[in-house]
Amino acid sequence: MIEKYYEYKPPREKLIKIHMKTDGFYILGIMITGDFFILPEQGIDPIESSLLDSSLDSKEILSRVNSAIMKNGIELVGVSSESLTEAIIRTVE
Amino acid sequence: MDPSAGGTWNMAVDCALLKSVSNGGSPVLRLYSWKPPAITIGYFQIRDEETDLRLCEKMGIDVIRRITGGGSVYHDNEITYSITAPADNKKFGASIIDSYRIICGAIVSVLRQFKIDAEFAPINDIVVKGKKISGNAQTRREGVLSQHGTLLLSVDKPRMFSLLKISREKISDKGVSDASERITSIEEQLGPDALSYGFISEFSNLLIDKLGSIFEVEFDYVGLNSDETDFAKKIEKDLFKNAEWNDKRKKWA
Repeated sequence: MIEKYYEYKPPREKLIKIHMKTDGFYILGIMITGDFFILPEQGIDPIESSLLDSSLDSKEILSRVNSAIMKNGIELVGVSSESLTEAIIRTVE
Repeated sequence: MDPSAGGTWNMAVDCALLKSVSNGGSPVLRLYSWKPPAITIGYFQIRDEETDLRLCEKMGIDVIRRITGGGSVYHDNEITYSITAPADNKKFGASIIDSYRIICGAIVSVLRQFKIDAEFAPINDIVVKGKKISGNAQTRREGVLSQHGTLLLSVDKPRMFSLLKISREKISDKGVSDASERITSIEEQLGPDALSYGFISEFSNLLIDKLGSIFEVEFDYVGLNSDETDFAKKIEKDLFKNAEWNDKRKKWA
């Protein structure tokens, strides 16, 4: 298992920092930090949980993030599910 | 303007006002300042990723995690406001983005009365000629919106940027190589004498009038009631003075 870290500032959005544990195939641990807004703030927990054991495929990651957002009535401000996915993909590249 | 207070108390009072409004209280505009200086970080940030914690401790500067998202802020010589209002009152903004536009717009309008060329820079900043003079953050919970923000009066940039860690990526789209180039203050805009000539009270009065007219509210000057004081004391101890809260998001060992 390796730990990876990456910072990504999408245009017109806020900074995303990804802390990730991976075996090169799956996400084994993830913490998403940054200066964005998520409402309710506790919504970060189901987003992070939804990504555990995900493959590193961008479609699967995006689908998991979107599903967590829908299920938990989460609103993203200054960040998007696409930019979160992009940040995660860049972390493992 | 509230008496100057430390960071943990300042954050606790905003929480107490949120609770008070959620229990049916009237909308509140609070103006406050910081003594001693403190740093707050956003809900989603990690204290030792955003600050030099050892230096902060050495200098007696508390580093407190807010209940709002957004970035890290060094609070020293500034005016801070908070607005707490029922979230379903559309005059305060139907959405978080809307509230930023309305409230920051009011601040911009007051700054322009001082001939400061301020503009709202979405999502949550106010800038003067591209340099940030005000940062703002909002949460919505318990049917209440709570937005707080800063207006930099003067800034000791070397001190600020020795305490805060600003990543290169954060300023990558700002056209500057050094974060300190991206910050300005009232003192820098109006000259060193401006703060001695009643800027704070004049700005505060104009802002109270402006927001009162936008929200169609007449603000009364009142302090915290005993329930609010008790709740602020409790939440200060339970959250903002509690390492479990402040370090909820922590670097992996």
